[in-house]
Amino acid sequence: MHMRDRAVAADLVFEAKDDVLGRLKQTLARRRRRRGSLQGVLYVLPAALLTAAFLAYPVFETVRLAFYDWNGIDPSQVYVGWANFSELFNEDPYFWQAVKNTVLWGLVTVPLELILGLSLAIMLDRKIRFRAGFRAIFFLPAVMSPVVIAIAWNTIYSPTSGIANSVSGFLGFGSHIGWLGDPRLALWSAALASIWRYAGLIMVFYLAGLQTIPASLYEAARVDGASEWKQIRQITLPLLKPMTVLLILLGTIGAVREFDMIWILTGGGPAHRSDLLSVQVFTNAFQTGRVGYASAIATIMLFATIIAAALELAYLARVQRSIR
Amino acid sequence: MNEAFRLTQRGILYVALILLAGAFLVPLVLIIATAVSPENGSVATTLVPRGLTFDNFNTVLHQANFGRLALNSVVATAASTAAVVLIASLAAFGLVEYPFPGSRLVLLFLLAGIMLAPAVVIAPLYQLVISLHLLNNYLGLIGPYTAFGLPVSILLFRNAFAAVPRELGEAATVDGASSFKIYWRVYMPISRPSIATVVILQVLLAWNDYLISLLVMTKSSMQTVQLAYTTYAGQFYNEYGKQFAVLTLVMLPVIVVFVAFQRQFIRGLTGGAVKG
Repeated sequence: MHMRDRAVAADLVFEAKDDVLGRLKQTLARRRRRRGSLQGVLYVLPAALLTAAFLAYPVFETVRLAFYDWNGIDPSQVYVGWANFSELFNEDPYFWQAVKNTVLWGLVTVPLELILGLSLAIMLDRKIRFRAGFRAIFFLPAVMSPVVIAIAWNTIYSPTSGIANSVSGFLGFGSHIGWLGDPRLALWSAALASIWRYAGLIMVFYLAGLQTIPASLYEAARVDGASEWKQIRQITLPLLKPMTVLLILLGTIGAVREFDMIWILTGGGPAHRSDLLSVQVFTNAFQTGRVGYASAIATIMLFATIIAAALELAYLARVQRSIR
Repeated sequence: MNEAFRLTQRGILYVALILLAGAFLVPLVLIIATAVSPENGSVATTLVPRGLTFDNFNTVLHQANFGRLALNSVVATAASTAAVVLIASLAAFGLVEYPFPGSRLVLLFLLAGIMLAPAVVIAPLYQLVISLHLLNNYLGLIGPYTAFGLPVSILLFRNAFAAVPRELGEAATVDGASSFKIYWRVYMPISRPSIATVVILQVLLAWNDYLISLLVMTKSSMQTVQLAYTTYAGQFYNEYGKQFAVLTLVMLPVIVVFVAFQRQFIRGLTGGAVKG
């Protein structure tokens, strides 16, 4: 935007030398810029006010309340310093369980979504029959609501009549698996539902990325006798790298955001074994009435997201520079 | 490469795609097949319809307050979508056309919400809604939905508006058009694809929301359609036929909108990511 302005201004200056219309344009532009400073603010104001009231103010409140003891109802909020944080770090095993689960959730779901999404994109980038239909089927979960998804997967995972057990019985792994009831399995069962939910979305982004790769590169590779697999490895993957980094960034944010689906599917159970940090914020704030404690967890989530996003954005910038 | 090899390869590709598509469709088929099957006790979910009946839909539509909840969702979705389109496009227009000192920082402030997890703000947001006396009020949904939708919408509009040639606005100014007219008659009509994308994203956000409506709407008559299934789900019993009929009705509008605008939506959604 900056560059644009300077270019336009330079253009105007140049034209104005010998051209009356140019001079008129220049004064108009200058006047508009002066008047514009107020006008710009007016146009932005509604969005800025809404963002300030419903997003920024709650963020500051969360960070402030992290240092208070408050049940969310009483008028009195008691300042406790770092007590909430020290309780989290030193006395709350469930917190560490949720940290571990949230990190694992991101580390497992994001790469698997990317691999599945990229495979689908590469398969559906060819000219094949029913291409649009296939794409729609894979993308459909991304528009379904978390409530619908959670209830559907809940019945799939039913220990008595679920499809998951029919399939695993058919494959010889036994048909009495407690997909959501077994503490070792619950998180991973939910993760599978999440991968199913987002793979199509990733596919759509990769399909858009594939359109930007010139077909001539593949033709040249074919002339050189490169196998299909080699073409994917040496042309497709490197050129999709910026997109991959961007999707990892979006995936990381998505993993921290995850709440609705796992809340309805497992409620964080059994015995907190599928708790994500977001689930603990919710239970502390709205079920056990520890708003200050919940805010401490939320504050940690906030800063963890900022750090992760900053690192990934810096990496994205480097990748984009190296490609050009 | 010989023909037989290529044909085999193509065959494998189709088999893989059909198997994957089948697996992806399982939850959807499960819901619809169960919804159209006659109810027979509590263990009743099925992938193959046990018949074809609209009894479950009839019951749901007539018996419970489904109509009321659907109305609530329609109101909150429509109002927040209109608000987001207007407010986000105005902000993007101001930032692109009349940059002011610090406008880059303002943009950053407006876009930062993209990273924000709802869980981070949900407790103070709930308190805010209470202190504004907006519990069980449509505005208690419309406000948060609009605020949560703004960041991505502003990003999409800003990218679209930055691509509009400056000369168009300048020509209109020479012709004596007011700045609002430039926004309304030049920038908005050119950016129709982006408007479509913003509309669909916002409809998805508002219609599919669970968390905010769960907290803000404490009266059962004010809840949104996402919570309608609870009528037929209990700790010890489940009326799956009716429950899944509800889910089918909840999904239907979103799927119809998606199928109708699929191309435009996907192009708008991925456009910014490709440019990088």
